[in-house]
Amino acid sequence: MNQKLVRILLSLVFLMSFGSMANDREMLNKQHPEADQLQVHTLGQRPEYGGESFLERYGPPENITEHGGHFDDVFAYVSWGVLIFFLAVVFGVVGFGWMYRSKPGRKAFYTTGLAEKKFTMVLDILFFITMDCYLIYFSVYDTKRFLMTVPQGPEVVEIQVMPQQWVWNFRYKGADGVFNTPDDIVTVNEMWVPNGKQVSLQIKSKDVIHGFMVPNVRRQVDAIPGQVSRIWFKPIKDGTYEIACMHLCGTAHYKMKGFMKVVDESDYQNWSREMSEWSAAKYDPDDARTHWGWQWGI
Amino acid sequence: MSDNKSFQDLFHAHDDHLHGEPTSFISKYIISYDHKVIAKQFLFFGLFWAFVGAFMSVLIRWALAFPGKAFPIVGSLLFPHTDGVIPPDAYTMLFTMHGTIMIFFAITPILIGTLGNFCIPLMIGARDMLFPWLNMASFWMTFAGGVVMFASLFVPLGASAVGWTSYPTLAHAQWSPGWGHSLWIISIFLMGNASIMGAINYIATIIRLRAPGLTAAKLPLTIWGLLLTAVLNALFIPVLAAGLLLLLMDRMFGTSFYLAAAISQNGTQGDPILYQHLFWIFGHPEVYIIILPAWGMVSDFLSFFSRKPAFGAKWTAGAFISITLLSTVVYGHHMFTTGMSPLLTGAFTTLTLLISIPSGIFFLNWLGTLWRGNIQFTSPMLFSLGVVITFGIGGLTGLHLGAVPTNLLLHNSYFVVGHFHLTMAVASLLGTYAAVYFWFPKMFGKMLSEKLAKIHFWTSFLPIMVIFVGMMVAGYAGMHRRIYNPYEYTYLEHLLFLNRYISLAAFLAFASQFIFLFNFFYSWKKGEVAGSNPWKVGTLEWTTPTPVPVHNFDVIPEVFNGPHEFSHPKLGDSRDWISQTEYLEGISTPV
Repeated sequence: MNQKLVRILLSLVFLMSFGSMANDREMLNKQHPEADQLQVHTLGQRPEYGGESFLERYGPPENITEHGGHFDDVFAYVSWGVLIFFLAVVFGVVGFGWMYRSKPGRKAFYTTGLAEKKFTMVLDILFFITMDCYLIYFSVYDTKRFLMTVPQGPEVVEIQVMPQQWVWNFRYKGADGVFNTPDDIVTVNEMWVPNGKQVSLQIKSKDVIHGFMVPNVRRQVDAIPGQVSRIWFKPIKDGTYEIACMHLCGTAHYKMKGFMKVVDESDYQNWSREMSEWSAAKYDPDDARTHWGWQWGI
Repeated sequence: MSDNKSFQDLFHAHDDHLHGEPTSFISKYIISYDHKVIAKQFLFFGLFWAFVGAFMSVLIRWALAFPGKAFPIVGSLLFPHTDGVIPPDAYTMLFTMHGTIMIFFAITPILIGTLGNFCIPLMIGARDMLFPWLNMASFWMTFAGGVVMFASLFVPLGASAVGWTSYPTLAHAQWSPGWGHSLWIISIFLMGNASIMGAINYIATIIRLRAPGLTAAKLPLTIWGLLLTAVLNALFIPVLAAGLLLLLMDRMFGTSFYLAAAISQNGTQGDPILYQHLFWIFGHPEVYIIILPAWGMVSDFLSFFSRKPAFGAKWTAGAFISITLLSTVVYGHHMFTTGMSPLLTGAFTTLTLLISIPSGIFFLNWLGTLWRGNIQFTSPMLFSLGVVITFGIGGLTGLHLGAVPTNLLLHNSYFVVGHFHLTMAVASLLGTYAAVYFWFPKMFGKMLSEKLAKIHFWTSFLPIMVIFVGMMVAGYAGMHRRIYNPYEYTYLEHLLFLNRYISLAAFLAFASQFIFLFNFFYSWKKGEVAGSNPWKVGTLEWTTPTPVPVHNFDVIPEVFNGPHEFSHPKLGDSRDWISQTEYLEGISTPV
């Protein structure tokens, strides 16, 4: 009787999930038809359900930068450590709970003072060395490696980003190499970057706080009004990747999506030249909305 | 101690004739000065809001699991303009109010208001709080805050929709117009004032009104937890109040404390990051405010139901103290992505990770308490073990978020949501349940049904693990928090499946709470009558008769033993516990 009930309940749960899955896929595709046009869902993303292990399916989107894999490595190390210590806690609770469960005639062991503290101290020091020291080391080391030295030089692609509710604005220097001139390339929701070049962004919000993240790049930074935030990375794989807004920025926060196109060096140069010429030709001094750039500076 | 004693005699000499047995309905149940009645007032207030907040989480999970589908049954009543589908603006309000309500109007009133009020005087052998009037005022100010918060749900343009952190500049009138967020600020302000009143009262009571002989070493760990919570409340709620006051002035009087010059109306320069500093100076201690009482209670319950002394109790108390101190200087890890100075990030990471040392100490002490015990799986014990497990995984995943590299990866993702729910929400919720199951017999004079309690535990605990561990998986897969429809992003589409399972578990966990409510009200009326000491525990509250008289103790007790003197070898086989007030040669220390 009980088994039957459990089986019915389980199948109901499964039916609820799987039964409507097909409809949901259709509905999701209807929700953003533009994805089909841009063909994002075929680029750097995973295929349909099935055919993958759990870890593959629920891992983050593919890493596309030079140092992105490092963040995954640190995550993996900490996660395995956490898992081991957590299993120790579970074994402690379940194991002691089973071994020392109340029985007639059992009397608990009276402990007092600090006689048994050695074990505690040893485990605590082990934890400190394996987890804390490792993480502190990498926090300081990564800070030096990724956060302290802004890349500079003619090879670096510099882009200014100004998010607003609920759009990403991007600005390139254009042919003259100076920001805030008529030949600046200004794009909306689409950021082109060359493959294999260092990309350096300066981000400043127009209105509320937004968060800039390309999950494939593994790092994020807040966009704050009145303050320039910086982030830099080197993409090494062609494709179109989604830019996510990480910070609650109002009702349509969930729709504030941009695209980062990583293209070949030559394609990027062509695009850059064409766009810059087009911008200079179409420049309208009265269109105040497009004049939002700032001096690059360091 | 002698100073304390004379002070107490003086106080209680007045107390006895100041207010005797209240007679009218209002003086007995509404404007009551009795800490036990105020505790119950906080309990029912908190239960109401916990239900509201939990129902909001069901709506949130519905939107994530079944996007674009009408919420069944009550959906068309709640969202008539969209035929029952939760619209994005309502979704934003829902998660804002869910966070606010659960933190300030559910956990705080129940864990700190109810259990603090009920336990502190009874466990330290006092006749009431040191300032009974302040205690009464604290509840009614909380109530006023609740009324304002409830009203804010019904104003034009809707309730606050900026997240519980209320970051400017989104929280400014330009981007969230209407009364909703202003009322939110006023409500939190009232609630904060009530918390400060309560905190001062708790600190003063614990310091001044302990029974003779009740030294720091003999204080139950519950009281240690509540004391440290009160200290943090008294120190850091004022910081939040200052931050919110400036925000309210920005919203209503045209100042620009948090507005950058480019977007402020009067051209003066402010800084939105200033608010984040003020908020997290309060916000990080706040998670310890919420969890410390639960830690204290769990430490006690593990000892009570393993029938052996709390392993390394002094070190546990010491660990609590050092965590309290550390919690005040680690707030920067909430702001690593704001472009904080790299020098500061390293310091904040180091300080944050240092918390794992005292945490490791009390965790191992908890396991040490279980070791070679005589473990009775009563409902408070089950919930306490649940806290050990949920806080275990929740606390350990804090490592990911305290360190810079993984923080940059996981900040603002569902990993964070899973992590903080396991630590400060679920662990304190399970701790609260443990405490309610434990003290219900003293509060209401009846036993709760153990059978229903165990069903409640398993149907809550297992789904809770599925929900929040699932959320951490979703977060690592890239799902960021506070989004109405994650499936807008192609790299999140495949998470629909996972989100649906999380939601089913959430609905189950929500339904399971009705078992508790039924058990609560049924047992209150028809439960088995509890004796004065059903759990056979030695702390002072169990020496009073049940129901507890208005003045708690006819004679202020003298304390000779620690709170956890179980299975002492000199006791013999007849019993395994000693009351704190019993004097036994060779075991007790004289006053």
